[in-house]
Amino acid sequence: MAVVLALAENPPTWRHGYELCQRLNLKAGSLYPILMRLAERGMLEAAWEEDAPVGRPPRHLYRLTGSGLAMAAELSAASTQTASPVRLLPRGEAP
Amino acid sequence: MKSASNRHEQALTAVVVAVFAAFSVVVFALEDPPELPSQYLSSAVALAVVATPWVIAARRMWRAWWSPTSDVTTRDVPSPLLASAAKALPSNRRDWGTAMEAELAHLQSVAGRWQFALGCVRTALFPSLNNRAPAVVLVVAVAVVGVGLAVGLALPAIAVFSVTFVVLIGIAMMLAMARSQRLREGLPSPGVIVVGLVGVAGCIALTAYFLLEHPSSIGAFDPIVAVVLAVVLAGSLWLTVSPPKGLTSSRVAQRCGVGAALVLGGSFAVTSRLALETQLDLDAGVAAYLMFAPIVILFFGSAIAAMREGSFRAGVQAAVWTALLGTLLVFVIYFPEVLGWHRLEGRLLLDGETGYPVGVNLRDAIVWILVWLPIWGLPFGVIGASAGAVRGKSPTDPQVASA
Repeated sequence: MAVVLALAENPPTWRHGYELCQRLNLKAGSLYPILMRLAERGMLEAAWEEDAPVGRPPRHLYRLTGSGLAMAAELSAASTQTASPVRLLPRGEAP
Repeated sequence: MKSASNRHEQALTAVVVAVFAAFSVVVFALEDPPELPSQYLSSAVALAVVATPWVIAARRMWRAWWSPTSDVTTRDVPSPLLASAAKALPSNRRDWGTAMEAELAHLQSVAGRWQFALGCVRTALFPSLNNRAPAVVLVVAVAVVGVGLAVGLALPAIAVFSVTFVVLIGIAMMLAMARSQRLREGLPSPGVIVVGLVGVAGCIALTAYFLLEHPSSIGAFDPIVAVVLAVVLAGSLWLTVSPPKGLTSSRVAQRCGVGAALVLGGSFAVTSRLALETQLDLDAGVAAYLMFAPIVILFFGSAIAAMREGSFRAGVQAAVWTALLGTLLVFVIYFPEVLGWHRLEGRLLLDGETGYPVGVNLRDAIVWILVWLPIWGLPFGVIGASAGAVRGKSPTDPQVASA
């Protein structure tokens, strides 16, 4: 949830993986599986950096898609309405 | 630069020695304590004899792949580590590996690079199963319980082995399912698959047969030995059907590995038969063969592969295949030979000592063939690969750069 909400803070902005690790205090081993699942569910779009520094390979950049933003809004609303923690449900599972 | 490289090699030497020392401590803890203090000294000498080839082999690999003077620009460990792990990702997730590698290239601090690379390696090697996880865990649990009950009733002596083996294969299946397409991508040559599968199946069948036919072997097949057998055979099966990409890039290496393994198994059978027919040197068993034959066969098998490919890596691949497949073949051949030796005053095949029940041979085969033989022979294969790569190098050979 934290990854989705972090990406939703400024939706048009592309973020790279290490920046998200630092921002959320997450290890790469935790972040990348989340990013992969979000991308596979169509909630995250990815693109390659166009203005990479000379001598460095372009990085992968991420931002939420429309459905990702909708989920972020739902998560945000749910977390403000209830004190209980909100969790991501597997695809297809009813709340 | 050179002094830093020397320091790295010394540190590597210390790590190898520490691993063998730790292994010795574990063995001493599991076995009865030595009766004489001098036995500690002889154990230390034996440790030094086994560890020395590994130190040399590790230093050769360091110089070939990671040192500042190597042909390959891989001084920075996190980068090649992550690159190797990224290759394990299935093709539909390969761009994620590229993304991780690109991200790593932008990081400066050593600690940050290590932390990031290790996290990514974990993701690449142990991808999540998503919604399939509960189903796979259920299937593995049912298989473990089913096999445990069935084997426990039919052949109680092998129950620990069976359950451990099924658990390990279940874990391997879960990893394979998580990587979905990986099995098809990285299959080794048919020769490797046939020898590997026949070897693993033969080892299991002969162990079960031996336990059934020779009850004296049940006492020698304690839970620790059973778990060791399960770990080695499950690992062998996994390497045979789903090896890492780093082991399958050279077909020549696989052919050399299969060929050298057949030579190892065949020469073992011939050595045993000759000793039985001539009745010469029966008191020594096959210990001398197990001491010297792996050195020669692994050295030359790997050297030939490295020379033909002009690549150290190809030689190391041949060494791994020879050690893996050769070990399985010698283990399978061990059991028929045991019976011939036992008829001569209850001799053990390993060292020719008389008066033992035939079942003792089972423990000897597991400890000295499945564990000792690859540990002893593999570093000589690496040293052979190094020698072969040097002889096979040609300035115009493009593959030299990828050694």
